[in-house]
Amino acid sequence: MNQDTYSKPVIYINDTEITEFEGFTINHPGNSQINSADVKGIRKDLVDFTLMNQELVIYLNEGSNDNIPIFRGIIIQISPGKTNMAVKARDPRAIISGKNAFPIIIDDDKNYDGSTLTQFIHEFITDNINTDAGLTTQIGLDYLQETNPSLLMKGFRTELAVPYQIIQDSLRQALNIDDIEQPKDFEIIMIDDGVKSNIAIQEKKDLETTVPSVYYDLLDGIQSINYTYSAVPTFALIKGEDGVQSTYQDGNMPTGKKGVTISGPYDSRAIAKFAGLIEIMRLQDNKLDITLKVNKGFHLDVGSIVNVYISDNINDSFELSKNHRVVSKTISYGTGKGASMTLKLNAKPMRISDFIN
Amino acid sequence: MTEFLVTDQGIYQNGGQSTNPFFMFEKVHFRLETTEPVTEFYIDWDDGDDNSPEKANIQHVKLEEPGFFCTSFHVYTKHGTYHPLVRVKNTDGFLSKWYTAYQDEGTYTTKIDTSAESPATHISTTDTTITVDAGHGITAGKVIRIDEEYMKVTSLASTNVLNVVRQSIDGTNLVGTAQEHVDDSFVYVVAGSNQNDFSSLEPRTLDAGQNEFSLVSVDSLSDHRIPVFRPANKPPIAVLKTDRNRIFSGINNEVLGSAAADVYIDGSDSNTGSNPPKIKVVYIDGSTNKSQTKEVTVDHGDTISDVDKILRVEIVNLKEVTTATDNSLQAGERIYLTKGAGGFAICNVSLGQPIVEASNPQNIATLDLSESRTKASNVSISEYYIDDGHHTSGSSRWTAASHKLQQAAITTSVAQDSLQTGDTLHANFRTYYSSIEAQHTFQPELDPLGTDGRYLSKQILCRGQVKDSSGTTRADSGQSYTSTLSGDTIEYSYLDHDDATNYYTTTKPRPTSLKSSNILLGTLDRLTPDWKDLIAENRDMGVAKFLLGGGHTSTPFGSTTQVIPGGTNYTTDAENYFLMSRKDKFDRIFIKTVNAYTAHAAPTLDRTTIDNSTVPPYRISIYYPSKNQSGSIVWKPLAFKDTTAYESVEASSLMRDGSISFKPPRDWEIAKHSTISEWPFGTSFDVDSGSGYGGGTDGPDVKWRQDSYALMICMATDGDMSGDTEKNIGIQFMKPYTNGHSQVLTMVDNTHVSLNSKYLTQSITFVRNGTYNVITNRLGKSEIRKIGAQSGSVKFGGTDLSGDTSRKDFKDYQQNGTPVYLDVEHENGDFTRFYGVIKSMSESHTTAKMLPKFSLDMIVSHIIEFDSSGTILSNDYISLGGNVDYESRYLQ
Repeated sequence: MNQDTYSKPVIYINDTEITEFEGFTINHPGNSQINSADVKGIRKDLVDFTLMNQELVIYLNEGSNDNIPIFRGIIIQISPGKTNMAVKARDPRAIISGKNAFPIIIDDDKNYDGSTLTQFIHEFITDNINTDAGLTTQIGLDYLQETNPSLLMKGFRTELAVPYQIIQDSLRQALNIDDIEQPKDFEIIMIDDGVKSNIAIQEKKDLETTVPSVYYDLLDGIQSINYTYSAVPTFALIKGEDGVQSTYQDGNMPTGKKGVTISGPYDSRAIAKFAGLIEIMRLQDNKLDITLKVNKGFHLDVGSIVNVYISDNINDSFELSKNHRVVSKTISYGTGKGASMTLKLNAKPMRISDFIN
Repeated sequence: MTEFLVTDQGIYQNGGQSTNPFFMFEKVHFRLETTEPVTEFYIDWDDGDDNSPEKANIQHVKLEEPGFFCTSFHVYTKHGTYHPLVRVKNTDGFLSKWYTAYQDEGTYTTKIDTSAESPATHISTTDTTITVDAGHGITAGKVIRIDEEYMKVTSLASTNVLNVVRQSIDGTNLVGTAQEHVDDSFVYVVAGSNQNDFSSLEPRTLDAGQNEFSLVSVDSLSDHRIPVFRPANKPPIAVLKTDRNRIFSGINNEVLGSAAADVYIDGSDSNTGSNPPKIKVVYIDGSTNKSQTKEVTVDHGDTISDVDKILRVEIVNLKEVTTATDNSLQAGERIYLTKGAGGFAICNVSLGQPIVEASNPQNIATLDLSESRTKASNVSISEYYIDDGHHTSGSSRWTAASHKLQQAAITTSVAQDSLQTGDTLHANFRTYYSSIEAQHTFQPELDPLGTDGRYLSKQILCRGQVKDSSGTTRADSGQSYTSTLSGDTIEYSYLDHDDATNYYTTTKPRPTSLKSSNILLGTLDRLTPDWKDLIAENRDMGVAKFLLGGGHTSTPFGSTTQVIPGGTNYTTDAENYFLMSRKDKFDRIFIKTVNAYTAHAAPTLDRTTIDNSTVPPYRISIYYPSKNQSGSIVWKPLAFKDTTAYESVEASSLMRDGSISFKPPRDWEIAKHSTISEWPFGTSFDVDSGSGYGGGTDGPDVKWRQDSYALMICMATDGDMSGDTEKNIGIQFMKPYTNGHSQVLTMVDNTHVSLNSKYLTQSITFVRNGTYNVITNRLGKSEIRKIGAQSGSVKFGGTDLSGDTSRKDFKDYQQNGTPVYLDVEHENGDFTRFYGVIKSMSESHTTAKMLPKFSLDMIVSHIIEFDSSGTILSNDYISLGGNVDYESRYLQ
């Protein structure tokens, strides 16, 4: 161990340290999508070892010993090459998502009436996933929190469905509109506590009042920065139930005419217009999409607030220098290159809206 | 099936439980019974946004055949009081009313005092005067509740005697049933009206009992059929993160403490003794009503008074000399700034790092708790606590001598009941923002220098804790069970602790997930182990140390007196043992050492004569419980990494702050004392000999009673360490940090090592390269824009000469990535000093009798330029490629 060696990542597969690897990529795509890790250059003679569905744990150890791993998941794919092989792992939400997830039926006989979405997640995982007493918890529940407002499962029925898809679809309906100018939506993230990976519902943090988790500037952490401006929507067309339609216009449409269509179970024009207002407000954050390549703050969570300070306001926009929201991150490590991280700031993938120009 | 005890008012709360915990995110099983057969049950759990049909969280239980009951469960995910509403559908298809609770519990105020009455044991059902304890503050017109009976206070017969109308809220109408009340029954002052808010379902005020006009029917005042739920809060979770976990040694202004202090210039490290070069110091003058940013040029022995913060320190004469010369430094010599003469170091400068600035981001780690979270969505984080690792020197917020690191979160009022799930950080660690910046520096007597003259890197443990706002949503009163202690007290996040009992066995029940029994036990003697529970020592920096390696048998744990080693040699048996256990597997332990090296000198690696300038001989081994072939749990050896050691030097553990880390064994058995078959370390090793600390009660046989993951950490040292100079070697605390609330920073000495004394026989070549953007117009003329400067490298080489160490030194620097500097003297007498790292070294061993040669490629991080008198010419550190932009400074 040399005191000047900066990068000392460690990989475990099912508690066995993998000492030969070429590099790895960890992707947190955000928007409640499942995180993944791809490890390359593992020695090929492990191909007959029990790898599938085994736990893959990566400690980044960039600069010092990490207290918690940068990734914990289960191996879902092995790709042997000529001399070595690659493995792909996804975070524990993979157990309840995708084609391999055990489906769930919610009908009049077995349903979750009287439960909120959070209560449903808690009950489903407790009763169906973390069932092997004494074994490692597969999906931790310690960080699970109720949404505000609560999302009710009352009346929710479905035929064979993937549990995580139900969770994602339901969560997309949740919006905290205590402050209508800053509506807050939710996403699902995974948080490691050193022992297990925990599922958590995270409310969008306030950009202006939240103390940033990490400060970046050109002299401190930023390797490169790219950004694009997009005009934010200034009006909305809203379609409700039974032919209900409405429009909402944002002031005098200062950034030009750019519209968005919304559809939902709105039964009156007033409700529909309000939905349009909320959607327009929600999209105001998305004006500036930044791609930031950085060399610090690797343990940031998706959804965290970071501050970017660009002292060179001649060559770059002054609008860069403020708080931004992390919407996705990718960490790359190569034995000859060290570690770097690419953050996507602000840009949320489109969801319920279709932009029209 | 979980069973709950009902308390007064039909309230189910953890404070009223004796066995089964009642918490959020735990299942509440229930059974509903009806008086006639029904087909459907509807339960509004009252944890929707309100009770209206659109927003209520209603559970629908449909029976296959008409029946009289149903069973199911519910999980509450918010904190507070919930009044469920229940209705049923009968076999004819008619829906009943919504039935819900009447709840007016009130505030516990005093107790009945019937000791002077006859009979002295109770108040009868007809008494209208109630004697209460003194100091109650109850006035006429108040409504009180005793047990399940309400009474209207009409007047005070005397100070402590209340005249009341029994069974009444308004003084006229009777409600409920008259009861007898025994001495010391609790007296509550109530509102006199139902506190169950169902206004979104029924806007009118309803009295208790049946009515003929509303969809809602309120339960009886005294015969409770519909419960009220108060699930207890679960702790918030502290998530401590840092933007970088490797920092350079910078300016540690925290040494100055909470008030302005004098700063002493200590140049005694230089061979010139009393006359090293001057330094320029930019600082904030903290004199009363005089706060100013100032610059002074000071000399060895000078004192700068009333310093609030040191912002920048710079050596005036940068020229390196080879022999002791006034106003000059030789390679490796440093000038320190300390808090007063002989105090802790604030920073140091040398020719290898002639400028240090408080604003250098590479010196700063941001410790951030903003990603911490509460368990309940209606509860927020209200307080942040960050221990930023200034454990020995203290900080502006926290004092090592008088403040503990952490304390027990228990109350002595009811049998050492735990208030939290673990210890709490000292109150002085509180910060008013969710993040703080931490900057540290090396201390000459505490941190060892390496053989290259740089301090060995050290690790710094930082921890965070948060408190939530559940105190404002808490309703659990707990009074009606055995005490006034609430069963809903948890509001701090879990913090690692060493308490075997208080966070496991509690009067108020808790879920297993919230209970922990950890231990850190130690003994200084293998053959007659006098075990000591080190819980107090591990919480406290005020205690000098709590352990030494094997052979330290003569000094008690926790003593502030000098420790005199003795006993056997480290190459034989370990004499000191530490038994550490945690609820979950862990794989890294931080060890805070306390050492006393000879300042300004690298400890010698030759241990022929051992004193405080020697690398202390300490050897660690670790064992873990695991099953053998016969299924018995025995202790097995564990391989581990040790960053407290001096790299590859044998038996050099504990010479610096660092970590023990290991791969958690797959066969690590969760165990307790009674399940361990063998204790092979010594005779009756698991039993406290009882002669000293614990009086026989601190051994594993007593303390290790709960299943947990344990390690036996064994330490041995040299029995020849019998002098008194190595007295302060030891451990201050040791804590696992496999958790989300800890972060370990690694501090590296960024002092570069001089190459100027090495023999170079090849040309020194380098290129100064700017970055330009050339814009050519239609006429072929160009506008040339300077947009930056490139770094680069310096190439040079030498010859491997017999009796000269240059080649070996270069090789070591290349192998270790040691930061180095090289001076190039120009013909006009100016110097360029290159700072960087030797990236590659090529060696050429030629045939015949020609001497072997080597070539070096040094990556340049920055340069500095100075004239023949050592005065800086460049704008601070600059790029090899030239100047780029202004640097931010505190004083321009």
